[in-house]
Amino acid sequence: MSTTTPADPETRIQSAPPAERAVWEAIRTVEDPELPVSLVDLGLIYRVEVEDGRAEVDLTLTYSGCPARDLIVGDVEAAARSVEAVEDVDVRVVYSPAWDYDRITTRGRRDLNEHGLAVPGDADRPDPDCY
Amino acid sequence: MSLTTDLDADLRDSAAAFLLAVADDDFVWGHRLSEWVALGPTMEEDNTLAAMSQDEFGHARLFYEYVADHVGSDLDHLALNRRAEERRNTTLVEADHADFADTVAINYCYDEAERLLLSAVADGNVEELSARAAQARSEEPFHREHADRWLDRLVATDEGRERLTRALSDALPRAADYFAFEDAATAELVDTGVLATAPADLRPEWIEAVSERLVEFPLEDALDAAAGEPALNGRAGEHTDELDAMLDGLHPEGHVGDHPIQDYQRADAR
Repeated sequence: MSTTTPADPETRIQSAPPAERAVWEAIRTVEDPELPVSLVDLGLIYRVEVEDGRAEVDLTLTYSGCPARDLIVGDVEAAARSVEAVEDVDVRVVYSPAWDYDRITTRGRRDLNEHGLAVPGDADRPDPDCY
Repeated sequence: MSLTTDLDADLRDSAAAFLLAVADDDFVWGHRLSEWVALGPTMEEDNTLAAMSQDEFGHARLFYEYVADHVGSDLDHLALNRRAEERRNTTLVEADHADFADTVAINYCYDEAERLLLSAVADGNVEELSARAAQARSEEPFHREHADRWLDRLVATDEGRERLTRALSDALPRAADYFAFEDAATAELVDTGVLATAPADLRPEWIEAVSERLVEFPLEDALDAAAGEPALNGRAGEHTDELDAMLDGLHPEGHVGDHPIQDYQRADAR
């Protein structure tokens, strides 16, 4: 995984085995508790692996003092568990590589804009729609 | 390199002990900052102090959790249930204070020192650890800017200058223990690359930065004390009564070591 210009996870999701793809899609329904944007589109989900019914998810936080951490971890666990092929879930919070704004997907940028937020340094969308 | 698989048990203990001290600093300072919430000099300051406190607790969590995972403990136990003599925070951050000038003085002294120490970890070779230190470091510049602005703002009046001078005279000597980690233990961590630099070697840089920034204040004695032997060494578990009182306040019946976290967890599980 590149740490400088992270690719949109979409390609990875589409080429993932069915169970993993189902977990990605389930997590995509989980929004950041403070923003109406999917955790996947914020680029916070680093890794999903499913083996023998056990899902492992690595995720990060936008900053270390994030007060919503337990909510996020709990929501991701529940989402992954909702997938039929998954019996057991292990969610890890990781800090490497560091998260940055480049990880927000095109869809995530659009959702943030609709919420009235611009992504710093985003020349294509300097002004949110309802600014 | 990984702390669990690549380091022998002694070294792992040394690393965990070092990180506990870093976490204790953040935890205790986060707590002291939180005591200001709703009492700050301005509404804006209430907000800022609350955010800074949250940052410090976040950083404490980063390191406590790492230690907990690697020594088989628990975040809440490490943060809440350890008595003063088990804590390794610098005595600088435990000061009970009611003058905002103290907050500015402590924050300034602490953040300047922490910047150096976090870099020593961030530039070390245990990847998950250096990532955490880098994360904490990246969130600190606004704290330093905050301290910097208040240092300038408070000297605008005679009273402000007087109170700030008094606060710095108290804070600087207490910071003498900040880099005073046990040499043998940190030497091991430096030899193996867990730390990029020995804390003791960072001290002159800190003294220089602080002396330069505070040159307009009459602080010769305090700066000498900051560069000398600490009166109490928090890194060796020596603390003021102020820390005992703070920790007692965390526990409803004053029973440090008996926080009812297990009961909450049982309730969650139901």
